[in-house]
Formats: sequence, C-alpha cells, structure tokens
Amino acid sequence: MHDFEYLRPETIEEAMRIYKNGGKEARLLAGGTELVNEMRFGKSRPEQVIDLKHIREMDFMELREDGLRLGALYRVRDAECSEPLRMSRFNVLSHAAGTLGSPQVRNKATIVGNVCRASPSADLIPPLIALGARAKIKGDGVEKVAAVQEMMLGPGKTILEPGEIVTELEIPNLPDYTGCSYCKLSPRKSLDLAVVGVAVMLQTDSNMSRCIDARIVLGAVGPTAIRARKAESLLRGRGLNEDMIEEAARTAVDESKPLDDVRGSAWYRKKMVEVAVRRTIANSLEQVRIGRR
Amino acid sequence: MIDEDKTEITEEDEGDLTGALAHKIHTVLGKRIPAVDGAEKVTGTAIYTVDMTLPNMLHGKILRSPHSHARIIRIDTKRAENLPGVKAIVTGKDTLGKKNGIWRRYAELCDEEILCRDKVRYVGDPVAAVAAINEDCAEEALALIDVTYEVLPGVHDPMDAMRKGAPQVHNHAERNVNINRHIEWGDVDNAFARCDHIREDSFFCSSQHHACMETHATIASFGYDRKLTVWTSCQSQYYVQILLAGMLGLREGDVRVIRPPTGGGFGGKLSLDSTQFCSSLLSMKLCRPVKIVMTREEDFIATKRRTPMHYRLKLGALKDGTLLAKEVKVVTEGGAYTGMGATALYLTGFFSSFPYKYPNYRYDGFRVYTNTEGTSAMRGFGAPQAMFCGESQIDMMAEDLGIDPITIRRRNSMTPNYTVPGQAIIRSCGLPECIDAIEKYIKKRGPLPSNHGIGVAAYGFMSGGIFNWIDTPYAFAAAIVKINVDGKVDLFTGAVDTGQGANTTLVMICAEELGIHVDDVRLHVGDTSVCPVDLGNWGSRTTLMNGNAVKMAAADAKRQLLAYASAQLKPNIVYDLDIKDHRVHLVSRPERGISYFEVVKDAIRGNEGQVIIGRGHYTPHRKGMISPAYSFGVQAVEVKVDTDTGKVELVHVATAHESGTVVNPIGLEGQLEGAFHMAAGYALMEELKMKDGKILNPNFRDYKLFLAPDMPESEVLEVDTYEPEGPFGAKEAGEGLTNPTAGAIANAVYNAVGVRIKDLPVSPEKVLRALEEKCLQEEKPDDLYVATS
Ligand SMILES: Cc1cc2nc3c(=O)[nH]c(=O)nc-3n(C[C@H](O)[C@H](O)[C@H](O)COP(=O)(O)OP(=O)(O)OC[C@H]3O[C@@H](n4cnc5c(N)ncnc54)[C@H](O)[C@@H]3O)c2cc1C
Repeated sequence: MHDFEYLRPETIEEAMRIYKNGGKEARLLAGGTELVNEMRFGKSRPEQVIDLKHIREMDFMELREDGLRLGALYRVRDAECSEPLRMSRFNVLSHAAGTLGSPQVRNKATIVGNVCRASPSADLIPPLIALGARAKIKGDGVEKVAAVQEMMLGPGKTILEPGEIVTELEIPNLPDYTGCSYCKLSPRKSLDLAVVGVAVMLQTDSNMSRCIDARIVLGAVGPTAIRARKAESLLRGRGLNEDMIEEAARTAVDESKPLDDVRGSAWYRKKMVEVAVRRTIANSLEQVRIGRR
Repeated sequence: MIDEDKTEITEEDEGDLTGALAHKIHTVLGKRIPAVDGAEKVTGTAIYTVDMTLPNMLHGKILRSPHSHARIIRIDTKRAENLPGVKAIVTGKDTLGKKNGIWRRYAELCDEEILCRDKVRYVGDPVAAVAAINEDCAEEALALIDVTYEVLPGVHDPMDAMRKGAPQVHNHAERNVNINRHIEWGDVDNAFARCDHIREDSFFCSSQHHACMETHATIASFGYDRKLTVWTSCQSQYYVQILLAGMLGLREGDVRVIRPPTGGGFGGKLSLDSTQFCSSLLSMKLCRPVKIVMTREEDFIATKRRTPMHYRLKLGALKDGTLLAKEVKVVTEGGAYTGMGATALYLTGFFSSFPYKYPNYRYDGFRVYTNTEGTSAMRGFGAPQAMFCGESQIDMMAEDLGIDPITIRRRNSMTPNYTVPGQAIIRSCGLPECIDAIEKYIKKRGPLPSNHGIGVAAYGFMSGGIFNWIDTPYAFAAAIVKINVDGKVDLFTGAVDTGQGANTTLVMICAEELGIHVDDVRLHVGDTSVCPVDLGNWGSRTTLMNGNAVKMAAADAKRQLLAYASAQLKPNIVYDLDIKDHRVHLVSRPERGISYFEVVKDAIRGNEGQVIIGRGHYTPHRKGMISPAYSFGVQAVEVKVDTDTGKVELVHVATAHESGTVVNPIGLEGQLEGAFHMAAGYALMEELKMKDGKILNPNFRDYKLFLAPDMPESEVLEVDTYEPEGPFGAKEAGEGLTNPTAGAIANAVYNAVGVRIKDLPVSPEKVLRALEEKCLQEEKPDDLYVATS
C-alpha cells in the first residue's frame, strides 16, 4: 500500500476545508470497507485520507413525522438492528442492511458509503431509490440536495465532485397503504454479492385491490440501479392480481441490461429479474397487509 | 520386530474384534480428545510461516507470465535493479536449468522450471523474482522488469489439445498427451454381450482450488556456511528437502526444512511451489533470509488445482441389477506441467471400480497438457471425480432397471477379503452395514415435501497410498519415542499436520501404547534435522502408516522399560507385563503394579542416565499396489431445489462410514464436516472460471466457498470395523469422505425435481436450464397428440 497522509476532522466544516485543499488527491473514509480494499489492491492511491468517523454531528438516525434522516456515519449494522427502524415503515432498510456482507463488514460499513461507492450490486441503493431518498451534499460554497437515483452515473461514478461530502440522507414519509421490500438473490446465504437485487415500493388503495403507485428498482443488472419504469406504469392504477404481477415482472426483464460476467450469465440474470420482481411485489403487498393491521 | 499386539489382542480374537469392543479396552483411544495444538491455534498464538520474521530478512515477489503461451525473447532487469531498496533479481539464467518433477527417473515427466527460460506455458508461470527491503518495493520492482514475449497460440482445453496440429505445450509430447494409463481385468467385451442393459453416459468434472487459509509461503535463509534453512508451509518437509536440494545443486543434508504449524494443505502444498524455489535462489545470492508469501491471487493462479476430467462411462448389468462390466474412458486437463497429475490419472481409473465388485473392467485415461494452471493432487486425488460419475450413473442404471438405488448398491457392494483383480486386496470392509444404516436413515426421514429429494452415493478409499514418488520404492513412515527421566515422552515423527488432526492422533496412539496420558507426550514434528524422514501428508496415510510407526516405536520403548520392571514384578516373560494409566502391572493380575514414574526413574538413573529410545517404522511392502487398507461409506444428502432460481439448498446429510477403530471421535467429526463442506462446494459452487487460460475469479469474492449458514445439519452413522493392518485397527478418515458428496447431491437433485446434471458444478443456471428443457419436452408429446388427433 502507498503512503498517505491521514487526517481526522471533527466537524463537517473542518472536513470540507481539508477536502477542498486536498482536491482530487484526497479521499473520504467512512467505514473504509471499500476504500481500504481499493487502496490495498492499488485501485486508488490517494495522497490524503480524510477520516469522517469522528464527526459526531453525522452519526445519527432520526425518525420523524415527515420522514427519516440518516447521518453519513449511520452504520449498516445499526440499520439492521435498530428496533425503531425495524418497526417503522422504512424497515426495508433494516432488511436490506442485513443482507450486506458479514456482521464484521456491517459493523464498519456505512449506508452513505454504500451509496457513494455506487457499485452496480450495492444492496442499499435499490431500496433507497424505491423510498425516494435524497442526499444532502455539502462542498466549498455548495449546499445541495440530490435524489439518490440522480446521483448515480455509472459503476463507481456519482455526481459528487472532489470537495463534496454527503452529510445525510433524507427519506420522505410514506403514504398509508404502502409497502416496500428488497429481494437479493445470491449463491450463498451470507457474505455474498447480489446476482440480482430488486427493491419495490407499492402503494395500494385501502382494500389492497388496486395499485396507486409503484417503484421498481433493479440492482446488479445494469451499470447502475435501474428504475423499471414500464413495469411500474403497467401496475399504476391497475388491479393487483397474479397475472398483472407476472406481466410487470416480465416487463421489468426487458428493462434490465445485465452482462455476462463471473457472477452469472446475462441469460440467468434476466431470468432472476423476473423471479425477484415477482417475489418482491408479493412481499411488498405483504408489507401493506401488515401495515393495515 | 516385537509383536506389539500381544498385550491387547490375541491372534484368534483379532478377526471379530469390532471397533466398539476395541474402544472399551483402550484408555486413550476412542476418547474425545481436544486437538493437542488447538489452544495455540484458536488463540492466534500459533506461529505460521506467514507470521514469521527473521533478523535482516528481505521480502521477495515473483513476476509471472500474463500470457498462457509465449516465447521469452528477452528479460531486462536493469530498471528494476536501479530501484532503491531492491537487493537482488533472479531469472531463469540464475538457475541450474534443471526441470523439476516428482518422478525423477522419468525425464519427460520432469517438466517444470523454477523460472522459465525459453517459454511460459500458463498465466502465472514464474519468470523472475525480486528481493527487496519490503513487499511494496519488491512489488514496484516487478513492474520495472521488462520482458519481451512472442505470444504463441495457446491451447486451453484438453480435447482441443489432442487434435492434430494443435499448439504444442511441450515439444516432447505428441498431441500434448502427457501420460496415459490402462487398467483392465476380466473379459469386458464378452461381458457386455451378456448384459441385459447397457448405459453409456458422459460427464464433466470441474476443477477446484484448495483454498487454504494460509497461502503458500516460505522463508529461505542461506548462510555463509553454505547451508540452506527453509521455513515453509508444506505437506512434506522431506519432499521439499530433496527436491529443493536437487534443483539448487545442494546436498540433501545441507538443506534443512522446517515446517511451522501449517494452515491447510488439501494436496495443494504437496508439489513444490515458486515461493520455495525463488526465496532459496534469492537467499543463496544474498546470504540473507528472504521471505515470499503468495498473495491470494497468486495462490489461485500459480499453484496447482484439482484435475478437471472428461468422463465417458459404459456400464452393463443384468436385469436383477448385477453389474457385469464397466468401461471407463477419461481425458484429464493436465495444465502446463505434470506435477503429481499422473497419480490422479491412475487413481481415478482405479477408484472408478469402487466400491463394487466388477468382474470385468477396463479403464483408459489420458492426461493432456494445456496452457492452463497445472492440475495435481487434491483431497481425494481423482476419486471424487470417479465417484461423482460412477454414483450418478449407477442411479440411472437402477432407474432403468426399476430397482431402487439402495438395492443395486447392496447387490454389488464390496465385502471383506475381496480382491480387486490384479490390483488390491480389501481386508476390512463395512460397506454392506453402511448401506443398511443409510437405508434406515432414509426410512426415518419419511415422506419429503415437494422439491425435496434425498440422493445417496457410496464410496471407498485407500488408507495410505503406496506410490513410488521421488525414487522411493515404497511409502514408508518412521518414528522415535524417547522416555525421559520424569516420565515425559518425546515423540519424533515426520508426519505432517496441516490441520487435519494428525498431531493429536499420533500423540494418542503413542500414549495408548505406552499406557500414559496424552499430556505426557511432547511432540516433535516439522523439522528435517530432528524428525525421521517421512513422505508426509497425502494418500490418507498418516493414521495407518505413521500410526503404525509410532505404535511400534512406543512398543519398543515400552519393552525396554518393562525389562527393568520385570525384576520387581517377576513375570515369566516381559510380555506378561503391561502399562495402563501410569501403572506397570502384570497382565494376568492387573491389581499387582507399581508406578510408571518410579519405573522410569529407576530405569534411567540406574543406567547412567541413558534415555530409553524406541524406534518404529512401517512400510506396506507386499501389501498391494495401491494401499494396504481401504475405508468405505455411504452418504445420503437431502436437498431442496428452488425451481424458480435453480438454487439447490442442502437440507440434511447423513454419512454412514467405517474407518476401523476410531482414534478420536471429535477429530473424525471434524474431518467429516470439513470434507462435506469441501465436497459440497465442489458439487454446487466452487468453479475456477477461465477465459483463454486465464482464471477470472482468483479471489474469495468470486470463487465461492460455502459458509457456515449454508451447511446443513449433519449426522454420523458410525459402523464398526477393525482393520488388521492399522494401528489398533484404525484406518483413514481424511480424503475418503470427500468422495461421495457430489454424486449424492446430483442424485438428490434428480430425485427432487427430475433433472440430471452431468457436469459439475451443479450450478443454479444449469439446473434452471435443465428444468426448462424438461418442461419443453413434457409439453411436446401433448402438442403432437393435438396435431395428429
Ligand atoms: C467482505 C465485504 C463484503 C461486502 N459485501 C457487500 C454486499 O453484500 N453488498 C454491498 O452492497 N456491499 C458490500 N460490500 C461493500 C461495502 O461494504 C459497502 O459498499 C459499504 O456500505 C461501504 O461503506 P463504507 O462506510 O465502508 O465506505 P468507505 O469504504 O468508507 O467509502 C466508500 C466510498 O464512498 C466515499 N464516501 C464515504 N462516505 C462519504 C461521504 N459521506 N460523502 C462522500 N463520499 C463518501 C468514499 O470516499 C469511498 O469512495 C462488501 C465489502 C466487503 C469488504
């Protein structure tokens, strides 16, 4: 591993100042489960590593009337285990968090780190997109909000410029009769990357017979997480029966763009999109049902 | 030689002495003894080669070929030499130009250079090595070595390699055939003519990586005394000693090999590796210690791996399920070099006849050179491939004949004292009882939910291979037992524990024979300068061969000790005395005894302090061609198949097996669970994905091993046997257990959802494709019916 300067700011302001000076040669470190590996295997060679972990003001999770706020240091394991989050409407995040890596990795990894790394197979990006999450971004004279979905430009690429830090994620409250779930298909039961990961948000009418709104997000089958918009519009305003769900799943397959790689052939991944979308819609409906009780 | 069994078992009752009875008369054997080196390992205090540092030590790195086949035109090391911190660089020019191989009498089987001089033959072939002040610097230097290659067309598949005009991997091998083997008995053609039913099937057995926790690693230290000391993670310090000496032009006695605790082997650390050769070369140049540790990627791409095999099987049976004839044709992907691959080629042919009585049998195997990483020894050594194909086919045969899988196996099962014509004599064999036990288990599981299925597979395996590697006419083992004045015993053995529990097994055998406790024994292993020569850890030989040597050495020491005690206890002859649980006593009157410690003290002090030293040895001379004994078993695996995803979930596994007298039940369970994990990975997930000879997934993210949550509950159904050739009746429980699993799983998948996967691994994608095909085929007849009606 290359030598580098290690810096440990304690406030967002301080971090921004250091990052501004460091520019392109500086990298932010949260849990480090991505960055440290990149450095170890020579994929990144930063001159400066700015450790965010001591910025207390970014370590929080807040459930409010109008939604959910997650600080940039909120860990994947926190999300998995937090009782309030698990009991909330946003429990898809707890579930998806539980599918990421191993307990050791989850103890270190942050949710925001997962977003900023922008891996095509990231487990938290699809549910965050399905929930309509937005990131608060701060940089030198910049303060902006961007939808997680809009942040993604390609594998490992986001709209973030050097000097910009994501300070938190905010997720608007969900309407009643809404269910959200995530389904990850991977060869192993733990410590594995998704062959396909699908998140679905579904809003129904009060007796669950009609779909009012739907978001279907496909992970690991394209350069970034993909919204299956045709499948979504197929569901919107329609009755929710098995045929409908089947058709939506098949439509989502056409919207996916998987490649052949060592983790699976494109043929298999397409098949799995159908299976995962079907299962995730069913699970989301189940969430609505539970919420109704 | 002393009759070491005299005090325990007489000739007459040996025959029917079962493991269970043996267990009752032992004080140490059969007890659940924690690993003697367990505390160090679980607390992280055991020092492995990778953990070690020596004063003044340098770090080495190896430059490897990026091409699967290329001529080396020029190697320019100037830029690298000028990098500050670089101390030495070696290339093929710095070697003696010899080629390494384990069959030193056959020049064409010695085909692997320390550092390639003219040609590279696979992606990963070593071309240069650097020693520098730290790893980063050495790594940086690699990038500064300029190698000019002339890239040659490569051949990456054995079938292509055998075609006329295919690129030649080695000039000497016509059509790239490295070795062929033939085994035959009976009259195969005639027998097929008499069969009621014949099946012909093709199978493919994929490769597998050893995936040791500790990657290959060596520290070599050559001193101004012109002697070389090597610390290395290996499976045989003796092989390393003689092969290193030969390749470096040193006397064997001037090479001392120390093997610290070793983090896994599984066959992968049996062949010599580039860390051993290159660190030695560099150290000899500098007279400083040089350490080379393979990265995980190097471990994947530049060692050896399980041999991929293309199988064609022809099986003939009578209506009642009696198997009359079998014909086996195998082409194996040899990779770039021979390694120990010739043995895999032989053993897969031999074990294809297991564990059944085939009156007529023919095997033809071809090992073919390819421009891929070499293939060689891996746990089971050709047998898991044989059992996957054979056990799949026998289920298909049973179905064709309308017989159930248990019955067909029972009808043809090997039995005690069976002779494999011209090949081997089976003495103890509990296979029929294992079949009964599994049948009961299946009944007990009752009716299964849909998409669940149980598959069975039977196996047999050698208990101590007899191979003439490195000019040794026979495998041998030796041991020394030294009794000290305080009663503590030093046991010296060249046996190798790579994590499988050999240390504990041998200490237990020593303690049992001497009538003392496990913690009275201090074990000395892993150093060629103090331990007797030993061929090491392979062929499931340790318990039987080293066990016999240790038992004999302990008996020798005991006899010497009892000679002193006889003056006091006055038996008729010394054999009327024995030691149990620290008491020296008359065999006929156990209540008359004296303390072991007192006897030891008197014996040594009264003899001018001379220690008591017992020597023991074992060789399977005239004990068959392959092994002096065989173990057997049957495994049943229940799976659940997700018909949407093709994923196979392991639900439950039961293994009925016999390994003679059980030395240490926890050791055995550990072996069984470990073997199942490894073999289930082989069956379902582990796959080295290659493109043009390059391994695409050389890491644990993409080369998938099963993890604890994926493992099913496992049940052991122990069947008692007693192996007359083994120490206290014991035989192997090491490799054999990896044999049945792939076949059992493939059979279970078939029983669950009706698709037969004949090429490994049984991946979700293959299952899904097969399910779709099956669906189409089931639809077709209906369509036809509609069309014609
Ligand atoms: C063994 C292992 C298994 C894994 N398994 C999975 C898995 O199953 N699923 C999965 O999705 N991922 C997996 N990962 C990847 C990784 O753990 C996750 O992506 C994790 O969420 C990253 O978070 P982190 O805090 O560790 O990120 P870091 O490594 O600290 O950072 C990741 C990237 O984001 C940037 N960054 C971090 N914080 C900010 C910020 N506040 N503002 C701007 N940029 C920022 C960093 O500069 C870096 O480029 C695995 C990793 C390992 C090592």
